[in-house]
Parts: sequence; structure tokens; C-alpha cells
Amino acid sequence: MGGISSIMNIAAGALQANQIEMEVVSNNIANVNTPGYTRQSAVLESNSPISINQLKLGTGVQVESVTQASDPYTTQAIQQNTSSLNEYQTEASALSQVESLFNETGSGTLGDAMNNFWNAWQDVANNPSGTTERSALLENAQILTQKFNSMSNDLTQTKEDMNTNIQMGVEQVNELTGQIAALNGQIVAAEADNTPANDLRDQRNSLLQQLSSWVGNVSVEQENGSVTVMTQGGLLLVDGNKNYEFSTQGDMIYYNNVQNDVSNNLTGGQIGGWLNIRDEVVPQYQSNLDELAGTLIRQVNALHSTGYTPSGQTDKDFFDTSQVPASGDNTGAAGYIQLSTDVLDDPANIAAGTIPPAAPGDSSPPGDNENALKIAALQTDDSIQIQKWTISNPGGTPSSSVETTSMDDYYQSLVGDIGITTEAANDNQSFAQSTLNNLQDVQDSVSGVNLDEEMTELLQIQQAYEANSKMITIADDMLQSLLQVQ
Amino acid sequence: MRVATPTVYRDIQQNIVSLYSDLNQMQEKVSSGKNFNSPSDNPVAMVNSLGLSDTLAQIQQYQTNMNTANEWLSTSETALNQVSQLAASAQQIAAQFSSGSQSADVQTEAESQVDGLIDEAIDLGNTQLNGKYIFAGYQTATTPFADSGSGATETVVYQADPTNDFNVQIGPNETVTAGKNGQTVFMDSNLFTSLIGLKQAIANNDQTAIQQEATNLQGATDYLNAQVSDVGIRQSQLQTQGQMFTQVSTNLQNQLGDLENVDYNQAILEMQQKQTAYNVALETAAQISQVSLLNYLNPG
Repeated sequence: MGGISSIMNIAAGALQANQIEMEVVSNNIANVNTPGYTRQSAVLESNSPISINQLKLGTGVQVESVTQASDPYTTQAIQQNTSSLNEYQTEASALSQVESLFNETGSGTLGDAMNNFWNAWQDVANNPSGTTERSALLENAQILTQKFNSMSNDLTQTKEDMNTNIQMGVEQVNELTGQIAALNGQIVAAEADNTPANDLRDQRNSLLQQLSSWVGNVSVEQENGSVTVMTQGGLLLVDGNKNYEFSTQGDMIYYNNVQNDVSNNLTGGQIGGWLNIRDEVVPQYQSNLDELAGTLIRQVNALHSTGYTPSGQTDKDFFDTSQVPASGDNTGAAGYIQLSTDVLDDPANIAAGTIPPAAPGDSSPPGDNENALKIAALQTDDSIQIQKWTISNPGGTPSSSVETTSMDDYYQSLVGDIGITTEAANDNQSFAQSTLNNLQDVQDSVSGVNLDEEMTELLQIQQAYEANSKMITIADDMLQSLLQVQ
Repeated sequence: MRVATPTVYRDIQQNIVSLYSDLNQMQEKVSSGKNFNSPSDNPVAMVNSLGLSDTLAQIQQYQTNMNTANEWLSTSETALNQVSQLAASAQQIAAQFSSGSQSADVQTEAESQVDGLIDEAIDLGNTQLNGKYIFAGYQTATTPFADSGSGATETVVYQADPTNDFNVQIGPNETVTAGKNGQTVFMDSNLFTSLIGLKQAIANNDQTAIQQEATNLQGATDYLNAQVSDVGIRQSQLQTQGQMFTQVSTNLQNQLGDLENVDYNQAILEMQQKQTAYNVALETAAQISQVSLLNYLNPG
């Protein structure tokens, strides 16, 4: 064969190839703003030549395949950074809530309440028999205990909010791993004949990135085209077309229906961030707030119970001790701190003095202010030993050291700590954000669609299409000429 | 580097968002007038400012305490001065008898004068401030001095707290004695025994005893004057401390202001810079959006 019909066949085949190229370009343009879309291109290949009279003649062009301009390395890096960014974002936003509890720039803060409490003791020392001063002390003490209680409640509430978030996150992870497993199945089936399943892969990459925003993971592509996904802690999430799900119960996260908490195996992503807040940040501040409240109870009571009331009574607690363990453990103190019923019922039960009555049943001197002076001096006593907790290893045992300090300084260092932690989370967040932006630019430079480029290509294909059409016209003319030869 | 079309828009968007956030932060600073509005804005400055305001609040309380101490001291001073003058008057009465015995009228008159002085001294010893006896130690509700017996058995008894003084805190580890007990101030001066002794000596017309009591009264006057100057020392101690607190307060307030308050010149300049950067970013975005090959292609 050969000759004019061959020319026409070649041109017709080329037109078909041009149309496919156009379709690819058109699809690129259509998806210019589709997140996760990878630019595709038609790979042209010249057809096998035929031999005519010892000549090897080409037989035109065909589209061999449609490939993706993918950049697996950057895609992987983006997934990892997505999980870091989401972890930091989650931490920063939760921390800003915790921080607002300790925000001493406003009024009505714990620092204010503490100052007012100590000052009220000084007022009692100035006028130990004054009922106004005694009532004012009780009022200020109550404001202080209520402030401790509400901060403790808010911290507990933050932990509960985290659990609600984690439950929602776990459901999202289950859904995403299910979808990824399903896509694995489709991709393996679609690529069985060696044609790349470009759009399915884009979908899967996009799901993997979403998964990274919830929980840090590692994904490895297998030879058959499916990906195996694991958490950073090594739990298998997707294997072929099967996914492994999580469930939650209270504080526990169970894996694959086994009743065994796997919280510590989940890091990164929003879930990782929430777990950090729930298991490290909030417990640390709660423990330290408890230490402060517990120390306050013990120090004030130690002096108060040895003092004497104007009516000659002693051994009265200022703060309620029904929940204070003898062991010195202060867990929960910020939550339970409250005034003893003795002083709450009667301000006259405040033991401002240290002089016992002359005889049992007598009263004590009403002008005795020694105990009030001693208690007020606790404010600046910087030889008080207070435990300070650090909880930084997830699920590990918290560590503590004993600080010799004053209660005021201890509280101020707590405020400083939360400021530094929040500042660091904000910094980490902006750093992760700019890293991710850079990576996205790098990925786009390989995989993104550039409209100018597509337009140029379109012009090129259009020209080729016109030329090929012209070939058919010319071949037709040649055929006509031939037919007219008579 | 090859640049994809969405990259351009995404970069513009991110830049505008971040510039806007910077601008917003500066505006918040300028409008609140505060350098930091939460601990994380500047943890170190936050902790410093907390420490400073803590100290300021303490100083304020010490100043309140010092007012209480000053009230006690000035009331004590007035009473002690009067008692000291009263001892001097008693000495003058005794002096009338230095030249020998006097008529019965003069004697009776002198006796009743001294009796009056005793009552007056007891009243002054029972001085009250806001309903509390200030020369009673801790027993501020007990009348400290009372006349007991008559004639040869007459004595003035001290029935309040003989050991403790009323102290007020005026510094982190510093207290001042605002009210000394009546035992120390009056009983130890032997004023009452001397006055009663003088009254009995005049009644007995006992010249030697009168002279002896005159000497004792001089001793009491000296003792009381020493008490007055002791009060004066404590008052001037309070004054010095008060002046120091005023000065420290001013310093602390300045430091706190430097930490917390925005330097408006600098902040407004910075805000204007951010504003300019933001405007330029917006204009660039408008320019870039117009650049496209599509603009140069003929539709037909």
C-alpha cells in the first residue's frame, strides 16, 4: 500500500492525535485551579514504519499515553509539612484559649485576686478587732478561691473539648482511609493494562494530604500502584484495599477494635496537636496551678490553726481541709480550694492573734495582730518550697522539681511559661506555613498548570491541526487530479 | 523556575493576608496603647511587668499601713506630751513647799490639785483611737488604768496587756511599733506612784517626802520625754520610709510604662510602613492579574 490514501490516513491519524492533545490541554486549563490537580500531557509517538520497495516509510503519529508531571518527593514533603502545620495550628489556637485564662494584662485576674487577698490580711493586722476588715478578708479570700476554681474548671473543660475534637478527627481519619483504600482498589484495576490512572492518583494524593492534616502518616507506593499508609507511630492505616479504623471511648483511642489505648502512637496533624494539648500542656498547667493552690492552703492553714481568735479559740482552719490529703499531694487543689465553714460562718473565727487566753474559756486579747502579720508576710516569703511539674513526653510520667520561691513569683513564672509556650507554637505555625508555601511553589513549578504555556501549546496544536487538514485537502486535490487524467 | 498560574494568585493572596495581619497587629497596638495584649506577645516583658505591678500593689498596702501607724503615733505623742507637762505641773506644786510648811488652805488646795492631776493622767493613759485603747497592748478593749483604794492604800493599777506592743508592717520584712503598752510607757515611769506619794506627803505635811517625790517626778518627766522622742523617732522613720516608697513608686510606674505603653512615634511610623507595603501588594495584585497571553490572542 502507500500513495495518496496513505497520505490521507497519516493526516487523519494526526488529526485524531491533535484532538487528543487538545483534549489534554483543555483538561489542564479546566483544572487550572483544582487543588491537587497534576498537569497532564499527551505523549506522542510516531507509528511503526512500513517497508515499501526497500524503503522504510513512516505511517504518522499516535498518542502513546497521557502522563502526569508528578513530583513524588515534593508531594511526600508536602504531606509531612501539612501534618506539622496542622499540629502547630491546632496547638496555637488551643493555647490561645489556655493563655487567656492566665492573661494578666486584663483585670480580675488570679494575680489581682492574690494581691487583694494578702492586702486584706494586712488590713486585718492594722485593725485586728475590726469586723469590717475581717469581712473584707473573707470576701477577698472567696474571690481568690473562686478564681482558682474557675481556672481549674476551664482547664478541665479544655481537656474535654480536646476529646470532642479528637472523636471528630478520628471519624474523619476512618472515612479518609476508607476512601484511600477504595481508590487503591480502583487504581490497581485501572493500571492493570499499564495505562496510568492519572485522575484517580490525583484524587488519592489529595485524600492523603487531607489525612495528613488530621494525623501524621507515612505512605509508600507499592509496585501495583496501591499505597500503604501508616501512622508515624507505625500503626497500619491502609493496606491495599483494606483500611484499619480507630474508635474512641472517653480518653481512649482504640485501634482495629482492640480495647487498648493507642493515643501515644498518634502524632502530628490536628489529632496530634489536640493530644499534646490534652495530655501535656493542659495537665502541666493544671498540676502547677494545683501546687500553687495546695501550697496556699497548707501555708495559710499552718499559721492560722496555731493562732487564736478573739474569743480564745484555736485550731481553726482558714481553708477547708476535708479534701486535702495528709501526704502532701496537691492534685486537684485548685479545683477544691474553698474557705473552711468555721471562718465562713463567722468572721470572728479568723485567728489574727497568737496569744492564748489566760485561762481556758477566757477570751484572747482583741488587739493581738501577730498571726495576721505572719500570714500577710507569706506573700513575700521566698523560702517556700513548691513543686513544679514538667510534662513533655507524651504518655510518659510527668517529672517535677522542687522550687524554693515565693507564691507570687511561682505564679508569675507560670504566666511566663504559658506565654513562651504559646509564642513558640505561634512561631512554629508561621514557620511551617512558610515552608509549606515554598514546597507548594516547588510542586506547582513541576505539576501546576500555567495558562500561558497551555495557550502556546494550544496554538501549536492548532497550527498542526490546520496543516494536517491541509494535507487532506491536498491529498484530495491530488486524487481529483488523478481522476481527471483521461 | 517555571511558575504555575495558581502559584501567582496563591502567593499574592498569602502575601496580602500576612501583610494585613501585620497591619492589624500594629493597629491593635496603636489603638490599645499597649505593647502586649497577651503573655505570648512578649513573655519576658509580661513577667517583668507582673513583678513590677506586684511590688507597686505591695507598696500601696504598706502606705495604707503607714497611715494607720501614723494615726497611732500622733495620738500617742499628743497624750504623752500632755502627761509630761502634767508631771511638770506636779513638780511646781511640790516647789511651793520647798521654803517650808504652808497654811492649811494652801495645803488642801495643793492636795486637790495633785488629785486632779492623777485623774487627768489616768484619762490620758486611757486615750482611745477608733474605740480602741492605744496604751493597752493587745488588750485594746480593756480600760488600762484605774484608781483603786483611797488614802494610804490609794494606787493606780494597770489592768491591760503589760508585755505586747501593737506593730504594723511597713515593708517586706519590716514592722514599726505603732502602740507601746501602758506598762512600758506609764507604769515604768513611776508617775502614778510619785503623784500619789506627793498627794500623801502634802496631806501629811512631810517636807522630806515632798522633796523626795519632787525628785521622783523629775525622773518621771525625763522618762516620759524619752517616750515622746521615741515616738518622734518612729514617726521620722515612717516619714523616711514613706518618701522612699513615693520615689520607688514613681520609678516603678515609669518602668512599667516603658514596658507596657506603646511608643507612639515608633508605632505609628511602623504602622505607616505596613500600610504602604499592604497598598503596594494590592496594587501589584491588580497589575499582575492583567498580564496574560490571552490578552494578545485574536479571538477569530
